Amino acid sequence: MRIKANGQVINLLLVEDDEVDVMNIKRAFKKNDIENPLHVSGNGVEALEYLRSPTTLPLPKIILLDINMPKMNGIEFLTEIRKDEELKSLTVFVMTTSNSDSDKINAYGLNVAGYIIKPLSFDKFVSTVKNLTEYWSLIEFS
Amino acid sequence: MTEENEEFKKLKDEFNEFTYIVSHDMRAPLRAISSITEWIEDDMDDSINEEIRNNFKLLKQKVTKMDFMIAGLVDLSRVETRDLEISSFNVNKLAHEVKEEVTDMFDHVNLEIDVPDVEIKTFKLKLYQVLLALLRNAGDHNTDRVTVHLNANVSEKNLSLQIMDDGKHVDEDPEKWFRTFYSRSKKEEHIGIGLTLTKKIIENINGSIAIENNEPGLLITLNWPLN
Repeated sequence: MRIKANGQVINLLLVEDDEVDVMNIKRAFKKNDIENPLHVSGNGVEALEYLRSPTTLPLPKIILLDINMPKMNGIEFLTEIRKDEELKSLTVFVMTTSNSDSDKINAYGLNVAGYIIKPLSFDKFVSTVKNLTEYWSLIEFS
Repeated sequence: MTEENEEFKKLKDEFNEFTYIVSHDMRAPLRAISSITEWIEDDMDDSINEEIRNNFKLLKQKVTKMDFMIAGLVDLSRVETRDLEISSFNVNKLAHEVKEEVTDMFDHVNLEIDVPDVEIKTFKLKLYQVLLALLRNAGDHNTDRVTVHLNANVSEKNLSLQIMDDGKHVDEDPEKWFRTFYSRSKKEEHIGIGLTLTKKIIENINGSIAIENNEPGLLITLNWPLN
C-alpha cells in the first residue's frame, strides 16, 4: 500500500538517531505493507540539510520526529522549521520515549500533529503504525 | 537567594536530571531489548519449539516488569512536583468517580460509599490517585468476593477516611506494604509501587495513613489535611 495525497505517493522523513528504533519503524511499515519512500536523518541538523537541499523533491509530507537526539534535538528542530517559510506547514508527529510534561508542552506549542510515546513491545508498535497510516489515508495534505 | 536556597535548588535540579535519565536514557535500551526479542521470535517463527517459545515469553515478561519498575520510580520522583493544582469539588462525587473506575477493573469487588455530599478544597488529582490505589488494593489483595466500605468525615481542617473490607487479613507487618517494590503478587504489573506512591503523596501533604487487621478484613485509616 502507498499512501497518497492529491494522487501522488507521499514521502516520509524519519528523524531518529537510534538504529534499533529506525529498524523498528521500517519493520512496522513492512508488517503493515506500507511502501511509501522513507528517508532517515540521524538528528535535527541532518534533517534540516535534507529538507533544504534542492534535490529533495517532492518534500516529505509527514515527518516522524524523535525528541532526544545529538547535535539538534527534536524541539530545536521544530523551532527551526516553524520559522522557515518553506517548511513551516509540514506535518510532524513526535515519536519518543520521553513522557516529560515539558517536552509535550513544547512540542504542541510548535504545532505537532500528535505526540506518541513509543510502546515497549514491537507488537503494540505495529498496531500504532497501523492506526497512524489509517489516519494519514483519511486526512488531506496541503 | 540565600546560600541554603541555592544549595536546595541545585539538589533539586540534579534530582530532576536523574529522573530524566532514568525515565528516558535507561528505557531506550530496554525497549531495544524488547523489540529485538520480538523480531527474533518473529523471524524464527515455525522453527521454534515449545521450550524456546516459553523462554521468549519469560524474557518479554521480565522486560515488561523492568519497564513498569522504571515507570514506578519516575512516578515516585514526581510526587512533589506533579498534580499541584488545588481546586474545590464535591468529595462524594469524586468518591463515586473512583468507585466507577474500580468497579470496571474488578468483578469481585463490591463498593459501598458513605461520603458527605459537600465541597472540599484540596489537591483533587492527588486525592483521586490515593483513593484509587487504596480501593484497588482491596481488589488485588483478595481473590474471593469482597465488600469494601469507604466512609468519610469532613471537618474544617481535615478529611478523615476509613476503608474497611471483609476480605483477607494481613499475615505480616502491614508497614511492609509501603516499601518500594514490595509485592506478594507474581503478576508483572504488580511491581509493588502503588502503596509506596500512596504513602509518599499523603506524607507530601502532611497527612497520615495506617493499615491494620480488623474483624473482618482490613481497616485503612487516612487523614488528609484541608487548608
